[in-house]
Amino acid sequence: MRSLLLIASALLAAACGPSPRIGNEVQGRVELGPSFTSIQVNVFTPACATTSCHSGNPPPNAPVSLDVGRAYDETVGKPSSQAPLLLVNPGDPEASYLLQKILGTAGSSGGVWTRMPIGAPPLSAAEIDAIETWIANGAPND
Amino acid sequence: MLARSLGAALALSLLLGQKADWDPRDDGPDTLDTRSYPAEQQEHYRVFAVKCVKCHPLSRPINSHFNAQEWKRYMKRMIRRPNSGVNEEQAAEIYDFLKFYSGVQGSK
Amino acid sequence: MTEPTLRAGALRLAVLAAAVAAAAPARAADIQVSGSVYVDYWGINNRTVGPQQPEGITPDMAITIAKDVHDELSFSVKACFSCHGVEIEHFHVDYQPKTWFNVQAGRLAVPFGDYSQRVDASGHKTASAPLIYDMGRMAYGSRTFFNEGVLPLPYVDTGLLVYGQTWLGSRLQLWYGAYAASGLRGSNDLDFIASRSLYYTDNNNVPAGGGRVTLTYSADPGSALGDISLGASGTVGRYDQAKHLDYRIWGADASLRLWKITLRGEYAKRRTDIDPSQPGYAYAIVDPWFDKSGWYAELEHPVFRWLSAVYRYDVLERHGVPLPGSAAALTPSSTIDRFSAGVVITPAAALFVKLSYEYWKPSDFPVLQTGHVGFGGAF
Repeated sequence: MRSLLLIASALLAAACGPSPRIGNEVQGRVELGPSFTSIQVNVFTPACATTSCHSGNPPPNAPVSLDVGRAYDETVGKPSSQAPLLLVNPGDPEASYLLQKILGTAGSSGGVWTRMPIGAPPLSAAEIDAIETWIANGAPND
Repeated sequence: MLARSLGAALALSLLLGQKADWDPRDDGPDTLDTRSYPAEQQEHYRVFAVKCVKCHPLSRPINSHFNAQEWKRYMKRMIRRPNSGVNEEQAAEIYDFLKFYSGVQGSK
Repeated sequence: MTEPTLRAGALRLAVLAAAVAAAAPARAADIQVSGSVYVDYWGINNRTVGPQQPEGITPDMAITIAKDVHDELSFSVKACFSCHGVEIEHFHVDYQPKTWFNVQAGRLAVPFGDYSQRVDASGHKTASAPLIYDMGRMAYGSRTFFNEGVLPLPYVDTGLLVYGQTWLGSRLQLWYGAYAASGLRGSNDLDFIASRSLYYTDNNNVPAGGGRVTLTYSADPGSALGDISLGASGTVGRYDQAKHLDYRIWGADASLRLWKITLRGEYAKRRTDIDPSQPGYAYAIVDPWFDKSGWYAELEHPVFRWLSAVYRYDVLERHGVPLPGSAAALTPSSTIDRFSAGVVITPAAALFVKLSYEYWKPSDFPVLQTGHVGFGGAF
């Protein structure tokens, strides 16, 4: 009984530790906008480059990695494996397979209809606009 | 609001209880009519009906068709789950009821 | 849907079909089949925020097939069909030579919390899971908001569990279990989809471990005071492929029956290390981890024949730097309070209808009022 009480106390002590300390708000926080850095931080990393999907080298369950440091090189100017299109066609959002996957229209180009991200709510209109504008501006690595 | 609705529901359930020891789990579609069973089995049924509803509805064992040997093994799995709260005496009573019930099902 | 995902789903269906076919003529062959089916509609009143939540119709189905080899050995497989298609909830061998020593090995439903035993739709009267254990159907639960609760249940993992029980006198049951398993997965925060996806192997060769103990007072069936249970659970592991980031999850639970009323409550907390080298944090990192914790208190009681009522109060909290890409409104101290009230109608044997109302009050996001209506059965 005494040992049970000691274990319980240790569990309680671990469970009741202080909350993490937070630093100051970062100035120049990367707000969502039509730049690659913003899209990487606000869209690719949280919504796409998850362990089960577009993350890894290579990703176990997806053809393309959208991890930091890999996403740009694996998408811009690169052919899709599912349709006769580039994943990101600089200057031409309508001919970019990545955007069609996000919109759920990839089937019309001979690709796979499944909308991205799978199993999650669709990207917001603001996020889609940011990606579309970035591609239209030539998809710079900015 | 919570206290008022809880009070009203409790009062309602008390009013609607016709028997002093009425337990709604003794009526209704998830339960058995044990009035024709021997008195000992009616008591064992009460143990079964209280102990075997922690993780699933009573309809699950009631609507299963196991023989005595299968109940013995199935019960072993159930009572070794966390917080089953079934001691040896209660396990024997539940098993005795299930054996009896299996015979009742088999004769139908 | 990718080709590997299609193949995985087809394989699971084939395993299940083979098991069902083997079970079909097997009345005398020590095979037991049980299961449940439930279909739920979740409606949200806020048409601006609602479409971004997982509202609508969701299936929740399960089938369990168990085969007894002899008195001490059995095999069991349970397949579930819900939002993500067919998944194997467990597939294990169960060796039970002694009450105080038993072994399960394979794909396990890991014991954590009291709710882990009642995850089936037929096992709980509420139409939704507690926030701390919700799997994919909570408001603001997506990856850019709360990223689910503390530990979505059922927590299924590949490993080995040793468990047993002993009695302290004739009234007090002590149940204990300890396990080693592959562990949860993720890159920066846990990825609960990855943790339940192929391949069912350890992503970093660092096993996770944990355990659960429960103490139950076994009451006489006829007494007004029913069984009283207290439990504690814990699990720790390292979740990233590079073996740098830890998670630690703890929980406590209690339940009791008083006359016709059942009372339950659970608390759970997870501390998750984060990767400070990732770009895009909105705040400077001092402590490289965040806490997610919460609790619920629930009361259920019969009203009259065919009708039961249930009430629940839930809290979920997140404390720590929001991850890169998180919704701009998510602050370092974010909470969700939720009040739920519902009824369960049992119109016929083994059938049930659930109706419930939920009021969501987050600290950082709009308030929601939601409702569930669902129909199901268990066998």
